[in-house]
Amino acid sequence: MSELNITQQILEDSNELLLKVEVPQDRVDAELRKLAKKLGRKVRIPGFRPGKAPANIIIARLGRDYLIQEVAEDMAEDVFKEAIETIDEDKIVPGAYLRHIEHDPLTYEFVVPLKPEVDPGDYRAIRVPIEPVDEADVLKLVDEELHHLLERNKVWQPVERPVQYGDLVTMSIKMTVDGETEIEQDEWEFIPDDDDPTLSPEFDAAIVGMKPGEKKTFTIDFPEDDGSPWAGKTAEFEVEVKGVKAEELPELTDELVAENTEFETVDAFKDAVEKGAREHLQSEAERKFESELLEKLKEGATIRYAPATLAREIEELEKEREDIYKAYGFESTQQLLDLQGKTIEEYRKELEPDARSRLEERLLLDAIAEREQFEVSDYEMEQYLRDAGLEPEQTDSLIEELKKNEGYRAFIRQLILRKKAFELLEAIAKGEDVPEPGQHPVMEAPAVEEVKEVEPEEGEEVEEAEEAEETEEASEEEE
Amino acid sequence: MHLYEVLKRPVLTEKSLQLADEQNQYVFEVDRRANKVQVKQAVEARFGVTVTNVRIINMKPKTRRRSLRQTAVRKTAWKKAIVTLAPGESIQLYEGV
Repeated sequence: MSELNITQQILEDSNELLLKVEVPQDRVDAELRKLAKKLGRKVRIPGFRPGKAPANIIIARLGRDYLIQEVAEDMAEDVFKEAIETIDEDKIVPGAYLRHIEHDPLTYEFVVPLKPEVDPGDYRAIRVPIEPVDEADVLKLVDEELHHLLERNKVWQPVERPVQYGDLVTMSIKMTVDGETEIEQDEWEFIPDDDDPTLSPEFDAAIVGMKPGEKKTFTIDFPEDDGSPWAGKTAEFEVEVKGVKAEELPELTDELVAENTEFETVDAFKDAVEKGAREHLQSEAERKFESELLEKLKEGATIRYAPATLAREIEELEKEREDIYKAYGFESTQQLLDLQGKTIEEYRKELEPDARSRLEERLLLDAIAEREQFEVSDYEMEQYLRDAGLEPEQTDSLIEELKKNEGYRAFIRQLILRKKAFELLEAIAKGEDVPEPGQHPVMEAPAVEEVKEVEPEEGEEVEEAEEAEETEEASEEEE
Repeated sequence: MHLYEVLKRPVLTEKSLQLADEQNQYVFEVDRRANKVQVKQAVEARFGVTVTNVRIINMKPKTRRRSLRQTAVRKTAWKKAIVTLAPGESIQLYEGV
């Protein structure tokens, strides 16, 4: 049977390979006859018993165009498998799809995603300034923390001054609407608030400025859209301010610290807060450094990958997020999306930037690891698992897995290579001296001191000799 | 009657194809007025072959009754011609595979 006629075209924009595959006529005819024979067993053709009509009669009866369509669909998978074998496996990634079928002559257009192309650029020239922690920022954070502690413990202290917003006012109040008494209290406490007024903004404003012991009578017109029971009505108020209290922060004392924190003294608390603040600012600076580093790396790099590669990354991210949602008690991502009124397409669109960034970072680190010719030793792989902070039994079983499962080995190796590439980038960006490509050290298991094996026969002789000496010495002493 | 009015359609049945395969004989429905000579001339002109023999059969009309309504379905009489070709010659009745 004739060979497929395959032409390849690289789609630069999308990093894909377009495979045009023309199927020779003799193969199409053979498939047509096969299909016609199969259909002939079901189709009733006058003059023939079922299954007895020859292929050309069935084809003429059912229509060649219709049968070609059927044949084209049936053959697509086999044609693809045959065509894909002509391409170097290392150049392509999964995610191929059939774009178009031409029936005369039978021609398929398959789009095959190509392996991402990555040029990390001149990454060895990247420098990122790492900003030292500013002591003023540390002190500011410490002050804020101390202020929070005082805020949590503030007390109301009586004051002899006119009422201000935020004060605690004790007063007698009588509110009358249409001759009916609505509120009448002697010791009414309230806090005038200009953002969230108590009865109405006018009421709070009327109280602000009154001195302790002062009496006042006033009216307020509640607007129609007030929402209170008195909307559209006029209320008369008779009030007398009996006391005013203002918030006062307590003094920072050892007692206050001891009551509210795990520390006994102000100094100990301050030291701990300062240490925490410095660590926080340090890690902030590191995060900033890392993100600037990755940004600069991406700026100088050229990365090309097929849409199918990104789609796979989104799918991967979707699965990882689903595991998190499940841990929070959701049955599936769909359940969460239903609650949010979001479609899966919208959700995937949201994931795209994260997936893109993650994919590009990984591709770049892989390319750098390759260019730097990093190596990974068995010891490094074991050490990587030991440092993962797992339970000892779990670590042991993973190390066992590492020894027998080639796929898992390759996976861990890849993770270590990326880690090495990133650590190298960090060192370069900080301006440190780094080894040349191909000169990077590989950690090996520390040498264990060899225990000299003593052959039993010789050992016996030595012992005997020693014994003999001892006996001699003993006899001399006796003498 | 024009020569091209003689042949009405090839008769394609299991039996007619068997005749073509085994005895190089082809079966046609022909005009009821056509005679053997006209059939011979028509086949030779239409398919560019040599006809060595023509047999004519007058098919009788058939009536079939449908059981439910008892309506009669009548198939009219027609003329069948079995044409034998010279050895080594054949007629491609249908294009294709």
